[in-house]
Amino acid sequence: MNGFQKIYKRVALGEMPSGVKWWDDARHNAVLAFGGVEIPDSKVEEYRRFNLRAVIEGVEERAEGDCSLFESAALSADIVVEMHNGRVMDREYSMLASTGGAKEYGSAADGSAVDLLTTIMADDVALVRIPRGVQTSLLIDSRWSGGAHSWAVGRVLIVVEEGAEVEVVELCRTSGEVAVIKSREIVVARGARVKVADMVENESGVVVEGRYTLQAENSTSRALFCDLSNGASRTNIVTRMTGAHAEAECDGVFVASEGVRDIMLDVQHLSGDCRSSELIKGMAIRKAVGSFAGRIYVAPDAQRTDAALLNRNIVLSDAARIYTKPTLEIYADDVKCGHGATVGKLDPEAIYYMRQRGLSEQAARRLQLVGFAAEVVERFGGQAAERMEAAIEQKLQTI
Amino acid sequence: MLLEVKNLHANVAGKEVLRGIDFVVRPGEVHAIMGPNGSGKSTFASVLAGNPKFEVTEGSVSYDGVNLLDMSIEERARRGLFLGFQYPVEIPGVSMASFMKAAVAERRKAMGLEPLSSAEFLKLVREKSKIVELDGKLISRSVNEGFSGGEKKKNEIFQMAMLEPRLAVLDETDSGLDIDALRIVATGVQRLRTADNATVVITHYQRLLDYIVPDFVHVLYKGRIIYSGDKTLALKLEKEGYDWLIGSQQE
Repeated sequence: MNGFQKIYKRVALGEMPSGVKWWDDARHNAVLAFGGVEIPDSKVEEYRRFNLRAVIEGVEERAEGDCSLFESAALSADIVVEMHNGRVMDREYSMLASTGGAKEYGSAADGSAVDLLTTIMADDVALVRIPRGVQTSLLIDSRWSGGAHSWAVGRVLIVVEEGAEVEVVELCRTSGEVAVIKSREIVVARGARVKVADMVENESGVVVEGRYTLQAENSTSRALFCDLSNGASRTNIVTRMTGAHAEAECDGVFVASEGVRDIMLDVQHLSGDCRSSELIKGMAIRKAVGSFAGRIYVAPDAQRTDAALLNRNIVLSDAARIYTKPTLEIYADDVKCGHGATVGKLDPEAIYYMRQRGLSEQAARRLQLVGFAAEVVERFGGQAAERMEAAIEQKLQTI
Repeated sequence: MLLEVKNLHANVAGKEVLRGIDFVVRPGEVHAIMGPNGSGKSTFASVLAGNPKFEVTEGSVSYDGVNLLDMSIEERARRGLFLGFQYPVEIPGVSMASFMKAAVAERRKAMGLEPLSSAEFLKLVREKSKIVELDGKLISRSVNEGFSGGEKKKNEIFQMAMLEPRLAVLDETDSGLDIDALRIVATGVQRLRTADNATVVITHYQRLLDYIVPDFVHVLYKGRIIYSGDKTLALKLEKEGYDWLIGSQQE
């Protein structure tokens, strides 16, 4: 039994109560649910390119790196929640201070191993509630630091009440070879709007992440992620629309460079008249492996669904690989659903053209890649998009 | 001498397409290269630009006193060799502005000049886009993406104006242009003419040469220049075709 498993066992046996009743109840329920969920390894189709069990089995101590050493996020927001190795730094947003509980907890999540493990193993949960009708912005400055074989777990719950509007930026940075397991739920009430940008800047660790969004009727979510990790990462993005006339958009850019980059996206239309669109752009350099699996699910009575899922990828070397699997699962008959995927190389004609104007081959490649990514980043806009564009340019300096 | 091509042979996919070209361009000159389809005109332009599809098997090309064939595509461009593409390439996601900014910076660096400030760059864009009556808004769009045929060709001449090449090789810049666009493009080229630079226009039609009056007209056939003359040759070719020349070749 390794360090992670030992703590898991103690939590499961109720030996490490948090002192917050609703939270201990949530953990208890997760332990019961987890009884039936194996930690998936690469024999499980969905985790073929990313062996979650190997990550869990490879860790020992809790990460104790100094998270105050990160540079300032240089992003502004009305509400700033800083998390160090999963611990919420400002008590105001810590579930440990929230004795009243949060009835929404767990409602957006998907019951998967990542979801349950983060409930069971997190030291703390960040809770942010955006009250009815309020317009605001939120920065989650999520910092992780630890050496080889260290691990940390974190969890966030954002509740956007009826008619509220929030712009969320989550900046997830790691230092050292820490293994991070984290989940974030966003519960979007009727008529509420959320815009969320996720930036993952993973130095050399492993980041396993679940991002869950639950949308009530007439709500909208607009998400953009940018994962430029050097280390390995696995991201599960699950959006469920349970009310009519909800809209969900999710775009993303990833660059696979050293470790594997594995993205799983699941958009569930559980009510009629909802719209969703996703455009994910991937790049793989050197010998890297990227993987995208996307699904649009349309429930039997989700009539008049309008959904489009597109994944476009560029591989930059003969050894680089990107696997893509967009799927549709439709049980309603009056729907408009599209899905597509491409994997290609940079256009040699375009590179020749740009070189004929004096750009080096590398500059021409870079300009094309930055342009490829910019399509999704630019239309999102704002400070997060600006930071992403700069980060992408910097990342592609090294290709 | 700006360009001196001697006995140039080149292959594509193992097939010889240039079979001994001799060609000389001095500063201030305009040369027209004409010839039937498949005679090697575009190949010649591509070989000068350094297109990796073609393999030079024999001969030499001296450009401004240096061996052109030793240089990479971008070195040639930075030293002022410009190719106006017959089929300008669409590059989704890459804005004209960022592309041209990088290109102008490289060209200026090669000339020992400082890069332009953003304001200077925009001023240059405004100034140069007027030469070809190009809509200033196109600079914020992706390179050639969604441009009409005429806009693409104007955009080639706009880039030429931005980069101020010493030698411009225009590969069928007139193809696919209506008469107004042709006039705009050709007038633009004419306005960029100086005593120090030179232009080689590759064309099928004499009408372009009404605007860009050449000093020399050459006929390329089966990978060789088989005949050279002054501007009256273009008129004769327009009237009589190539048969009289080709016939004399075969005898």
